[in-house]
Amino acid sequence: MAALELRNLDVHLQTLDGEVQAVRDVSLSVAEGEIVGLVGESGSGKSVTSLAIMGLLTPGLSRTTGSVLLNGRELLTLSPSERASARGREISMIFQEPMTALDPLFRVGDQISETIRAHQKVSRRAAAERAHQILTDVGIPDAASRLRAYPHQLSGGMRQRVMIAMALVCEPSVLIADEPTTALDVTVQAQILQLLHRLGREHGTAVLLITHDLGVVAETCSRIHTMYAGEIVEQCSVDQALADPKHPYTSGLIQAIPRSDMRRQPLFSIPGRVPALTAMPPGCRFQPRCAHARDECLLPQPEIRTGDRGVRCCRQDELTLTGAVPQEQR
Amino acid sequence: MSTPQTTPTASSDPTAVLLSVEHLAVQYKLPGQSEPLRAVDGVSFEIGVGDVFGLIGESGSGKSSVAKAVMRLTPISSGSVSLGTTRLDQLKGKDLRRSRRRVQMVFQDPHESLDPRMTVLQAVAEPLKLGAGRLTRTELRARVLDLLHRVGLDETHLDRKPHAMSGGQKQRVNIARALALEPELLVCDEAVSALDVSIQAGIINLLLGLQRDLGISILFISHDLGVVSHLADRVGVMYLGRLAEVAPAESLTARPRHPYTEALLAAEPEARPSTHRAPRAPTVSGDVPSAANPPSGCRFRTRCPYVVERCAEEEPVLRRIDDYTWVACHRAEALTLTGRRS
Repeated sequence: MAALELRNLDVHLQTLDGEVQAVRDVSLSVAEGEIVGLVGESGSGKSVTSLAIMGLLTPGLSRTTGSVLLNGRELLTLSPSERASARGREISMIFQEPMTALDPLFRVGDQISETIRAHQKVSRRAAAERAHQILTDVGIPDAASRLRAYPHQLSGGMRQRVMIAMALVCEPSVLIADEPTTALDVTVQAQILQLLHRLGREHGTAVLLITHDLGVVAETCSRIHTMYAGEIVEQCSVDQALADPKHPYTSGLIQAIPRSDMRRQPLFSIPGRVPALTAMPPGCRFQPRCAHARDECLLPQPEIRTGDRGVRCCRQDELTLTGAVPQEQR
Repeated sequence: MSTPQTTPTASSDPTAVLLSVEHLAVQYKLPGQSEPLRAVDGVSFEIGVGDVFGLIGESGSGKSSVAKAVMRLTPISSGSVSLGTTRLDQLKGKDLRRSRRRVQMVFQDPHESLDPRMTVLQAVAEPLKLGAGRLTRTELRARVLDLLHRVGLDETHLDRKPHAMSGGQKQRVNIARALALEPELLVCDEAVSALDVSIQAGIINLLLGLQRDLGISILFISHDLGVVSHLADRVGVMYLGRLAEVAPAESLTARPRHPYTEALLAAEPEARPSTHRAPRAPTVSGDVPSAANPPSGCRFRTRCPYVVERCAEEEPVLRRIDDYTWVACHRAEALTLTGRRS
């Protein structure tokens, strides 16, 4: 049984222009100890997906249907208070900007203790001891003095470690990490990614890593789901996606990244832009920007599964697409 | 007191040098503190005519302060910035205003750098009105269209306002504005960092084309080593206000000579399958120390895996170790560092 499983998740949002569908038919699963990547550019729906999993979308303004299973238990039918109780205890989330996610007026230690005491009946002292332990676990040196610090007294990397500590302190089985390293320097990013790896290995935490950065996915995840305009267009192992992408959008993303063996050569850039939610093209949502589009692409594109791999493209078997490996090395 | 550094030369021919930055220092006064923050502390480099020079560093490295100093947007505490034979740092008043057209800047956030109430036509015409002499309305419109074509936009964009354009289109408008007065040097400070990767690729291609077609020189500042080394001929690596290494992009990534460059290369995620990833140096630990209170001696020594006693006692000077490479490390010759296989 997967720690986290989404089945045919749809999210509709109320906007001033009426109801729009931000996420369509998203299915994915994350096993215990696994790190799975959800990749997409702005407007792909990846963050809406994460908020829907957490139940953090405003109820009156959004409609989430399908299935979100946490260790086999359906979350979407739970009452708001039952979901709140699962949040932080069984499933946690970390965000991109650790400064805005921490309360500037409270000491780090008190914020962590608050999380513990919200879910467990323990004394203040026991909570403080647990907070000390978890900061040490996530690699914060001199945890005792950090517990007394206010968020502004910590560097960006330290704040993100505090966020991770807070998300993990109740030992949730699933962690949703939404762009956890995007605001960080690259040497610090590497440390945080190693920490995520260690969580999977040592605690069996299942991690859904949401990012725009294929490099981060390549270094961290075992499987990848590529999202475009609210749909998952390709899901497979990270190595498969990078060496031999089957969806033109995945291939386009890979080719847009500068590569050291192609210095100063023009990069592939995907023409056009992500469609607005109010003006989704018919059929394949990527078809207006796709160099390989044909008439049949105007028809709805179901996900076609081959073994572990799922691709939402009717031309996947005829196309040979460029990946991250020079052709002659394939 | 900063140690004088020798200047990494762009070329043996001094007439081929466009921008020359020597012993540049930028200091900011901190409230309630007697010691100023030395954001840039003795940085020297040259950019050749028609070259792209990349400046890379993490937060607090001083790379944006270098850009602001070159643009004269921040006071220069000491050192010199010369464009050709003109000492930009000594210009005042009218002369300074006149020199501004020679160096133009593109900023990180394409949304923030456009006036939301101006159409594309108005935004691109603004610098022309200020600096291109008297133009009739038809001439102005023709010049604006020329510039839009150059950056990959067309007449359908003329009457649009920023809210009706994507981030990539807005950054193209910003580049068109910067090009309006035919500058010799374009300073790009994180100009592609806020853009999605597929859009970023288009802007990178545009900058490469401008360099090729117009022969414009570019100072390209970014935290992204992949992007910098794709665009730049030569790259300077900054750490806490100083240059750690200056080298051609290719050799910098293939064979770094400063431990910090190696650390950056090791940390940069690589979008390749695991079977095609080269072995790397281990990740360095810790965060960048505060620029307000940098370590003694070599500034990288607190995180450097190769540190020896001398590193704490004596600040390494940026020195030439071969025809093209300048490095500020006592142990540069003794170390064999790991780069990126191409």
